[in-house]
Amino acid sequence: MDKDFALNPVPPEARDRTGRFWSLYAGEHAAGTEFMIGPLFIAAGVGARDLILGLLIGNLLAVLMWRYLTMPVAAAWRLTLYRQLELVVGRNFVLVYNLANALLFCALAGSMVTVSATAIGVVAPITMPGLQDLWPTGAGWVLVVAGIGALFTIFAAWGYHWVARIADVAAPWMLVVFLGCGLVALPQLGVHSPGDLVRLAGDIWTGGDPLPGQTKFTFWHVCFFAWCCNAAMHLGMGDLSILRFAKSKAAGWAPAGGMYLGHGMAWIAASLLYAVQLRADPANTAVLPGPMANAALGFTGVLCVVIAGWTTANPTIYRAGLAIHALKPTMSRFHVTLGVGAVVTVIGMFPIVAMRLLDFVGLYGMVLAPAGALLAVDHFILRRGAVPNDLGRVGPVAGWRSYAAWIGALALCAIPLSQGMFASFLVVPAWLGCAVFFWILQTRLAPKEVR
Amino acid sequence: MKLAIRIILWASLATVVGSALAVVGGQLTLDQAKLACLVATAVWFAGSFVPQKSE
Repeated sequence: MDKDFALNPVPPEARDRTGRFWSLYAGEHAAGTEFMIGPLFIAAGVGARDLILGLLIGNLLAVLMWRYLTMPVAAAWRLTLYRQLELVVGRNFVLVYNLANALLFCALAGSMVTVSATAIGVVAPITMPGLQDLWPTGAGWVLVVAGIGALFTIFAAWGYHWVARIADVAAPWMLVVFLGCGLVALPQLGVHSPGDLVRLAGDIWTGGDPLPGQTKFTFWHVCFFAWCCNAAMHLGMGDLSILRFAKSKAAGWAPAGGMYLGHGMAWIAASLLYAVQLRADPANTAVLPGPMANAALGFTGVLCVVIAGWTTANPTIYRAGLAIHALKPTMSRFHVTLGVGAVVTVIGMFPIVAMRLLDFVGLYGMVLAPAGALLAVDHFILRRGAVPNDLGRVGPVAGWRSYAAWIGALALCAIPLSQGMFASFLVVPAWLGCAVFFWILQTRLAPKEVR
Repeated sequence: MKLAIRIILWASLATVVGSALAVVGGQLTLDQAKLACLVATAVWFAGSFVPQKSE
């Protein structure tokens, strides 16, 4: 019985109305990461106009990817990414993809453990990490992270369903707390009316030099970051798993709720908190969501940081556990998740991922998004949008040609990345490179029945 | 009953935004707003789990 439709297309009676997708996306993109990303924009020396225009255009591009790339494939096949990859490119590719996915998920969840630990730092006398700290800052920090990591891991291993329930309940509240944090920061920055905000925006997002260790952000950095920070979900088609449940293709517009609230309003609000901190003490450049939220809304803010970190880390640990478990299904999922949680906790002790989150998120998209290029070429070009009625008639898998396309594209992007190029700039080239390589290999080298 | 709970939930969210706006406008101090947000948060979470109990 395939009650979650893990292997089969979602039937019409199991499909959901568009409104549900708007709330789902709005909740999913108000996460613990937003507390880090907003302040890091200021640390990157972004200017006010670059920030606003970059977010408007970058988020729009991301929404268009969901609507016109992911949604048509989801509506045609109604399968998860994993199942479709298995049918089109082969099971072995899915295993490799899962491993890469799991490793990146571990690092992302580790950064969320770091974020939550900063909230504990409000009440516990521990040395908090600074913006340039790459290593654990002391025994106190290690103990707090170990405790939080252990707690998150146990919940993830036991099944995170009630954490998911808390996440559902908390999502609208978190968005409102983000907004509240941003609003109370305004008077401390000299803003008392909308006119003041326009006048003083240049003092908040100065567009000056970045803080040490951070990449200087221009309009293009903000735009590509906003466009590609969820590239694994739209260009990479990870959200086939969600959008395949949509009754109407209009659900493809629903990510706009997540983009303009979570990746617009929440980032700006979080960056205002950091601006207040820098104004009070320019030497205090540490990006610590816990103390910043505490200064803004007190215990409500601290609770928001903990819940945001928790509800982001938990499913991430769970998904990483599932990805590793898929590599060796005979192992106990419970034990696999415990192992994954241990890795996540150790990563969380090192503030490097959280403090370099802008670079890490780009890398995450660059590695995973090309998998979606394989499906896009297969669906839009090779099959011209025609989906076989019977999944048994999909045809021979692409096999080695998909590895060659993926690795070839990543190898090309590794050169500019190693020379210091911002990772988000390389997501689209990696996707396009993989698509072109795969199209050439499939049309020139594949056996006749595959072409 | 469900409608009453829904109104209370929306009111608690509005309290968070409203008290933050009142800080901007100078009608509330930051400490007063923090207290209002804390109460609103407690109401939100308590109210959100009531429908689940009755299901």
